[in-house]
Amino acid sequence: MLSHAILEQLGVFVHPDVLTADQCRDWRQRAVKAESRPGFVYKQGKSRLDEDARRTQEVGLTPEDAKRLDQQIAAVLPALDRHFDMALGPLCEYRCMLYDSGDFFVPHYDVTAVEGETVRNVHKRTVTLLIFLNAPDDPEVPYQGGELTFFGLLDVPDSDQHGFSVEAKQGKLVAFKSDILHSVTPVLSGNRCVIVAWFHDQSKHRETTHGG
Amino acid sequence: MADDQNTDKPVRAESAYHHPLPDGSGLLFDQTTQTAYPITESARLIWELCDGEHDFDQIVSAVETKYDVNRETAENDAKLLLADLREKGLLADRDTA
Repeated sequence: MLSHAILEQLGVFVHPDVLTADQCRDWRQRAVKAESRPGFVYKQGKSRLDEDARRTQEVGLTPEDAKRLDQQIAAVLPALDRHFDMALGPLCEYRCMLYDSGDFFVPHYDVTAVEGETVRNVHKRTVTLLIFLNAPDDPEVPYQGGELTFFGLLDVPDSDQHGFSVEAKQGKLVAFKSDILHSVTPVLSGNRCVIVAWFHDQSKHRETTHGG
Repeated sequence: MADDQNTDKPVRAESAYHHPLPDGSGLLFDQTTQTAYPITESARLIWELCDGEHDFDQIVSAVETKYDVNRETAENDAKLLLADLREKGLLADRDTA
């Protein structure tokens, strides 16, 4: 695995401990108790269930929970602006992702080129933010597999074929441009839980005001 | 170091690629093993001179000049790095260079 310092130079922002162990436990417990739905994939402007491409459960965060998360990560936001060299604005589309044993997400991009018929936010995404709520070495809820892996980071031939994993640690925040190819390898045992949210292109917000 | 090594002109392996990083360091990527190796800025200079045109003495001179170090230090650093690159398969075999 590449060090944080190198990942950052390749465009992937890493903060080792944005949330405390207690905060992670609290988010995780809320997520597993909440009503979840299968994660969809976006293809040709439409979102749909495709268990060959993605198998995971999603839990949407309430506006109150989103506000609470904003407060918990507020100290990191200036560093994110600096890393991505832009004013990222507010986070959007907050959700918890629950990966049970066998769940995965094949290599994909988080942003689509154009606004879709049933996908009204995905084309606006600029930066993806992810926080690990547990990790393989977690003393309470460990898991195996489920590696967040980036592709195309290097300027070498067939770069999209070469993946680099990020070491998961409870409370670690990872942020990356939404057009970076990435995947989650199959969870081999246990349950992987992360929070995901996106920064949107503010100019596209002004163009289209409808929700997603 | 033996004379043949002093006149050896190291060549990068065909499967090895360099990805420069903004801080001046870099990553060497071996496409065969799909492994990335971080290298320092000075190692990057040595790597770039492994072009089959520069021999060991010329590489050492380049390091000595750029980093203002004495000959012995430059020689040791270059020797260690080249041995490491060779061990990792990032340099072509001498026979095929």
